Amino acid sequence: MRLTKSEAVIALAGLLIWPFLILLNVTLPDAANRPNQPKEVFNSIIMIFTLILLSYLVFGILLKKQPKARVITVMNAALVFGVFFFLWLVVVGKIGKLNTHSFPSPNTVFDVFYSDFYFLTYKSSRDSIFRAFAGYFLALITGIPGGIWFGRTMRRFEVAYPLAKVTAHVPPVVYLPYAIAVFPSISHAIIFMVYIGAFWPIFINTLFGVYNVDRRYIEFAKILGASEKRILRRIIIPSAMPTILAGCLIGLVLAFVLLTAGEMVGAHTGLGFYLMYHTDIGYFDKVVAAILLISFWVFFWITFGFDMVQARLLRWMRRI
Amino acid sequence: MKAIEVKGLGKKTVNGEYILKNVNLEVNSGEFISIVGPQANGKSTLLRLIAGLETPSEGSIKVLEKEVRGTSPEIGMVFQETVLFPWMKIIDNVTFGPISKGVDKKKAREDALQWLSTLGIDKFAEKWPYELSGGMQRRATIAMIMVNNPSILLCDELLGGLDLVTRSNIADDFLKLMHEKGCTVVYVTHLLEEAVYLSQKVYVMSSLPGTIYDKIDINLPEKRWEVPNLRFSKECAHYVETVRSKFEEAFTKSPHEVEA
Amino acid sequence: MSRGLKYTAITSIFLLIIILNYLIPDAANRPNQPKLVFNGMMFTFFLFALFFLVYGHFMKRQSPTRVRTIMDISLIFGSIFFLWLVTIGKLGFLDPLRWPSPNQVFYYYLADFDLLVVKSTLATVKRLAIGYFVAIIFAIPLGLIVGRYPNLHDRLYYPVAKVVAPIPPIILVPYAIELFPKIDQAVLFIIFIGAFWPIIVNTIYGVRTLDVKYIEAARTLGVSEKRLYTKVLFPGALPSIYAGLFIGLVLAFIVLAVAEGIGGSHSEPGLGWYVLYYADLFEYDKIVAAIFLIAFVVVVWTGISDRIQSRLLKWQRRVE
Repeated sequence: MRLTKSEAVIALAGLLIWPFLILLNVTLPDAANRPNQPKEVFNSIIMIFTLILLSYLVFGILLKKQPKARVITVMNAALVFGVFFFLWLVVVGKIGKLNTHSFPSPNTVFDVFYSDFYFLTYKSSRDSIFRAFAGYFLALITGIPGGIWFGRTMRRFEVAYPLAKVTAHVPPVVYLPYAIAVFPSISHAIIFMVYIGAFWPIFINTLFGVYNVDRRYIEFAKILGASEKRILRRIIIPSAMPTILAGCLIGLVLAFVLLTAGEMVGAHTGLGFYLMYHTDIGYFDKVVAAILLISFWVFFWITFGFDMVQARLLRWMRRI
Repeated sequence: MKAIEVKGLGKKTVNGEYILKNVNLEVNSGEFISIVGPQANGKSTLLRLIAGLETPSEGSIKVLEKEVRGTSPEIGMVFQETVLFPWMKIIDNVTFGPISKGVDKKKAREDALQWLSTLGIDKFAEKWPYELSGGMQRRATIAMIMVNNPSILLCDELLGGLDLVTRSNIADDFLKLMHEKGCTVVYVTHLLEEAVYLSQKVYVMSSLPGTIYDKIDINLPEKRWEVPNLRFSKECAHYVETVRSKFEEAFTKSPHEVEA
Repeated sequence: MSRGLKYTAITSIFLLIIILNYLIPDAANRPNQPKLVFNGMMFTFFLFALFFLVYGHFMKRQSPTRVRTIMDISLIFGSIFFLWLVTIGKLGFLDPLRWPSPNQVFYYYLADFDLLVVKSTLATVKRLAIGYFVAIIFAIPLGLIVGRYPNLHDRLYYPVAKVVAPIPPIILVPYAIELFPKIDQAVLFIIFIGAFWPIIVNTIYGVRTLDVKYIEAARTLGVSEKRLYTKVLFPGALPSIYAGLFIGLVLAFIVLAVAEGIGGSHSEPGLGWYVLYYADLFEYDKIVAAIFLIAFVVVVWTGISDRIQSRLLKWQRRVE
């Protein structure tokens, strides 16, 4: 695989900026207002990340296991975020003009992942992810069949669409008090909110996708002798799949929004609670650590969960 | 035996205007007929009615001496634009019909491969539709229909949108195939040369509301693909000229006069 | 049963509700319910249905499908209100604290008129409108520009957006409240972030999937760069932009509700604050009243934006 000059520069820069961060962190003196920052955790995480990038590059470029464009996109992203961490480290950690209370340095923030490993990294993540997936899963198994049923005929569509459009806009957060009153535990109430948040986009997109299936496909299938059931399974659902998946992605994003919202407002465990609790007592290093961790999980599940399922289900489409 | 018998057929839109009015048509078993007419004059609607995708407002349609009620396994239809299901590989597209009818998967696959090789596209069996050219897609569509063994085939602009060479190649292969299988074919097109070259009878349809204006018998050799350059021969040109003059008559005369 | 008879029956449900409300005595656990506001509301619904019955159906001035849809929806609402009134208000099912009767709920539109209907609603609508429109003003032009230049998109926008866009904007609430001196500013910032990403993502998608033919045709006609944006790219991307606006509004509203809940007070009210504040006081009747009010705001808002949408998208063939 041959890289053009600019592609090679991006790939190299995206890789090398990370060890460079470690080098800077070790050699530059800490800012006067934040001496003796604990550097080990930041440095190790960056080191691990560098190794992952390096192996990806070897795997992708030298062993040619990945399309070139994808490798370059990944390295490009690594470069952009490397620059972000570079600025954060240098401006906040090493020059130190900003106040230490609201602007923690990356060293102190990353240290939280280790020093608060049990509560933040393990327990809060576990609780939050469980709630997110429980709610999202329920939304999938009700939203998709529901959307299919209501999208099948014009009459049902005409009723379901305006109602869904209005209900979808009502922020599910306002149901939280009720959910807490009705469900046996707060965890259940949050799962319910996640469910509502993810349900509407999945339902609406399925409704649209199924309703707008090209009639020619259905007619052709009829000509070929397919039964109603087979037409639904082999024609209508696959044909609506791109729209359904777009709804599932919005649903996933909204699931995380509602998860954190519910946890911030009502829960006693989970990442959102952790974030809100430390806001109230003013530990912004822990707040930022929680923000980073939530962002990481959202990115992780979308990229390594959703995107892969989507690529598999939409193999038949020409890539843009 | 009459394969298709259309009597006094009329079809109205939701607004109550006639798209088709008083259409009478008889097609013998094994016959290849073409219907030509200006664009948007209800030719496609006529085919959809025969196929059982729509119900007539007036008159009757009999296929194989039975009144048409819904789609039937006897009738295959090819739509105006290629309809391959883009989410299935070519082989799955072709086996879709037989599996729908309960043929077992292994047998269906064998039949499908047989048809794909007859049409010269067996090496694309495992490809996605978007990976094929327009002509290949058209051949795959023919395979999809033929693997179902229909005795009647309705084609709506089967070769529309293809370049000239591809068009005549597929036309010859198609003609040979229909001859071998003894299929009854109703072929709708707006290209007069194609209609003359392919069929034994050409029906000329008038403009809205559509009705049959005239019928021209084409007496060309049966195995046309064996005659070199038949397409460009004098006889062929003569028939095209006849059809063209009828076509223009139908076009200029008001629907009113046609009815009378 | 003929259609006219059926529609008349549906329309009279609302009158029936009002009559029942007066005739049947209140449940023992909720005596002397103030009936005026609920009955007034039902009468409004009745007039609305009556209009479609007489003008739409009998005088045939509205399309039959539209009348049918309105009647289907009226039937759904009528049955819900009917069941709610009878089971809870008259038979006294469920405990009165958490399950208020419609009479009690709707009464608050009169009793708490100033705080709920005027101050909170106006504050929420104002915040939503400003934050949302600022997001639109930034996101659409930026999206058109980024979508137009593949290098800008691939090298800078995409890596950032892929990671940052799905991050729940809510987790920035604590930070925004810390950084901005006034709640209103913090809330606006968060709404902006919430609405910004879906709009820009969809604008870019719209531009990038726009057929190159149009751009090339415009070019050959010698169209200036500025006109290319306003006359080709923007209208071409508009259908996709609308999808983004829809998701953006949903997200903005969720974020707003949470931010108000966390940062609001009696002096800085809002519908989100109202719900969560009265949740702490266990006044569920006020919560339900607020939820219905939110739904009403949404109906009006989406109604207006649908008008604008159909005007701007006149050129698009309606999917029937």
